[in-house]
Order: sequence, then C-alpha cells, then structure tokens
Amino acid sequence: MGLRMTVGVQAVLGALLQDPDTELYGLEIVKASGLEPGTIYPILQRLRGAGWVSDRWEDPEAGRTEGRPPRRYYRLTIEGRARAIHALQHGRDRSRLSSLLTPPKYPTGPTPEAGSA
Amino acid sequence: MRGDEGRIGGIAAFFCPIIIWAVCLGVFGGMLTSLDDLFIYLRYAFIVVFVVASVVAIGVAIFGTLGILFGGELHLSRRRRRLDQHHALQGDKVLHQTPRTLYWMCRLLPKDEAIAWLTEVASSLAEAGDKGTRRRYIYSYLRTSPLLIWTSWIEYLRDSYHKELS
Repeated sequence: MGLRMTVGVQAVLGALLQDPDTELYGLEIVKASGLEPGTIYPILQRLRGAGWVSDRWEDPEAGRTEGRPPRRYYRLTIEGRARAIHALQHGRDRSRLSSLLTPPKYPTGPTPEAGSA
Repeated sequence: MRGDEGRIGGIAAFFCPIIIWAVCLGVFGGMLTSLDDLFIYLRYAFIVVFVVASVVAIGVAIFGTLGILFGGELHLSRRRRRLDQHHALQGDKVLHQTPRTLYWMCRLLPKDEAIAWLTEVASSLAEAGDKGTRRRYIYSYLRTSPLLIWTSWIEYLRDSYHKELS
C-alpha cells in the first residue's frame, strides 16, 4: 500500500532505522525523531496499517516492578525496512533535485555596495 | 450500543412527549360520540393532555440529562476498568496522572484503538518527567486529536474491509 512520505513519516522512519534490530517505544521515538508525541501516534498507526512496522506490548509485570504502565514497542518489519530505506533514499534524491532546480534566493554576483567598497 | 446511554436519553427526551400527546389526543378523540360533546371533551382533554405531557416531558428531560451526564460517566468508568484489567495497570496512579480531557477524547476512537491509545498516553505521561514536559505532551495530544481520530477510523475501516474480503 502506498504511504505518503511526509516529513513526519520520514523522521519516524529515520528514528526506527537508526538501529533496525532494536525495538523502540513511543517516548524513545519522540526523542529520536524530534517530533511531538501527539504526532507520532497517527504516523505509527499508518505505518502499522501499511505493514511497515510491527508492535508488541511489554509484559505488564516488567513495568509494574518499575512502577510505570507497560510500554508499547515498535520495530520495522523486514519488508518495512527495505521500503523505508528506499523511501528515504528517494526522498533525499528528490530534495537534492529540488534544491538544484530552485533558483538561489539572493543574486550571487557582487552587490553595488561590495563593488564600491 | 455500549456508551450510547446518553444519546438514547436525549432521543427519548425529544420523542416521548410527542408520543404521549398523540396517545392522549387519540384516547380523547375516541371518547367523542357527537359533535356537541366536542367542545366539552376538548376542554378537559387539553387540560389533561397538557398536565400529563408536561409532567412526562419534565421527567423524560431529567432522565435524558441524567443519561447524558451519567451514561457517559458510566461508559468512561467501564473503559477505565477495561483498561486496568487489560493491561493490569495500577489504576489509581495512572488514572490520577492522565487528564480527563484525554479520556473524553478516547471516546471518539474505535473501541480497541481507544484502549491502546489511552494506555500509550498513560505510559508516556507517566514517564514524561517534569510538569512542564507533561503539560507539553498533553497539549500535543489534544492538538493533534483531529488527525488521530481521522487516522484511527480510516485504519479501522480499511482493516474491517480487508477482513471482510478475506
């Protein structure tokens, strides 16, 4: 299924790709991606729906011993990993291409002030 | 119909007086034997109908309001209980930390997704650290609620559709 590659999706995929074998929970993804926690959940939902990401709940006992609720861990699936790498690479190529096509904001030649000085 | 107590109360509050008016008019209409009796019966009929309908309307309106208030409350407490049972959370601690507005918001999500989301929110808020961060997180959850609701329902419908196909 096609997934729209927004900046948020790219950031989450980047965070999950930092170490694809490690599972990350919500707050770790927030810290790694630099996104707000409210933004993360819908993105992870979409990634889960597309089959790019798998999730599992932590054993409640583990959380209880530390005095906190159970965490939900996310990880890229095998298919998701390949697709994420491809999508991020494609996104980078596109941004490079668009930066080449975009004219520079300021003229590159010498300004009158610079010429007179 | 889980969680619809409030809505049922509201609908009943609207329709019951109309039904009672119709029944009363039907009964008194049936009692008429001649046109001469019409004005006599109508006089009494209107008084009785007015009194009965008003009393019932007030009663049903109170019932409806209570249904809206406590039906929702009942539903929320049920969902909290389910959340606690499902993940064996230490209810008191987590529930005291999670703001009420987020509970109201989770009512707008599909059932299973709501429980999962609320648990995840509770988890992240419990680990948020200082008050400022926690407040920022809550604000972030509330601000992105339209996106969350939209995505949740779309994913839910898509999932149901695929299940039906297979």
